[in-house]
Amino acid sequence: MPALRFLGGAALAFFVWWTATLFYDGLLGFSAERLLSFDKRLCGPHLIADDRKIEVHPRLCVAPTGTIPADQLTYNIILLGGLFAMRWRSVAAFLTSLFVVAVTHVLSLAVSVESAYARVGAWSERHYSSLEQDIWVSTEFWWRLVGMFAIVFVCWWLTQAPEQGRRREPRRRPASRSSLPS
Amino acid sequence: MNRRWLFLVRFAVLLLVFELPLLLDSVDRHVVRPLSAGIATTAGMVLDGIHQHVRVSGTIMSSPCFSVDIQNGCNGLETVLFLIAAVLAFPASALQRILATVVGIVLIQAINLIRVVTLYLVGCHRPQWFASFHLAIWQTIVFATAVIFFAAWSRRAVARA
Repeated sequence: MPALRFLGGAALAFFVWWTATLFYDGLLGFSAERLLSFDKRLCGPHLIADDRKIEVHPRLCVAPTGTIPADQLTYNIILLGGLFAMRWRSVAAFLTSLFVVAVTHVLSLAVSVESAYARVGAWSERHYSSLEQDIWVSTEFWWRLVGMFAIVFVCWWLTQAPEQGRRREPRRRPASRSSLPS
Repeated sequence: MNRRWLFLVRFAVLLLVFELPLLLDSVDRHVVRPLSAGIATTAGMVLDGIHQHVRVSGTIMSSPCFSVDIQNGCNGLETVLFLIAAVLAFPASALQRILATVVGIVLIQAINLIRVVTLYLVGCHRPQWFASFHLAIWQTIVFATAVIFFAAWSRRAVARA
């Protein structure tokens, strides 16, 4: 039964992720744009959702344009949906986890944009030190391979029933047995 | 500190310790690439067994139908390290941890092998589905396997304690 519940939740989350991506990418782009405007090297980037990607168009000065496969940053909600369907705690726990994961989506989009701009050849060499390039590229790489799933696991784990992650108290013997003479 | 938070702190530290070396070129050359090549060879043998004649060269499986390069992230190593970090961070006996690690590695690599074989077949017969299967579906399945295995194991470990 837990496996079936997981599959059902994951299938539903997959459907939501697949159908809502364009709308959701628009929201992500809007939010990440505010964050990225603090980095003057990116020339006030305008992030536009297009199909399942987000295009980056610098506005205030000359910089390359970029394309980020945004749906590859957000599909961890499928795992979130499956895990919560498998072991449900409460609506509040689910919504809190969803919110945390959505915040990480905005951050991961910002990191992906920085990572993309840190490896576009001569322009990157002029605007990013080699240490900065390594940090952005490694962070994005790690996040997409492990981090995006680890955050889902952490959210789910933290919202599980109290006995999870804690040793159970030893059971007391029934009174009738403990009263027997040894 | 609450036990649950203590687990998460330990888990985060171990994950970082295990994953950071993967960024080194020497680890990539001597560990990651040979592992990926081994998976490509095994997957090639499985595909030969079902009459899909593929040629394996290093980490690349190719045929006139489709070619797959098993890169970082496609060899299950990150998921294995994720699981080992969780198992080691959880309070359990040494024997329980060793057993969980061994069974977990075998399970994840078996699932990952099915993933590679399936992805080749999807790429060959339904290339338009490849992108979705590659990440959204199979990456989720591989990580879900690790998380569900860990959840089941930790429950048993708690019960035995």
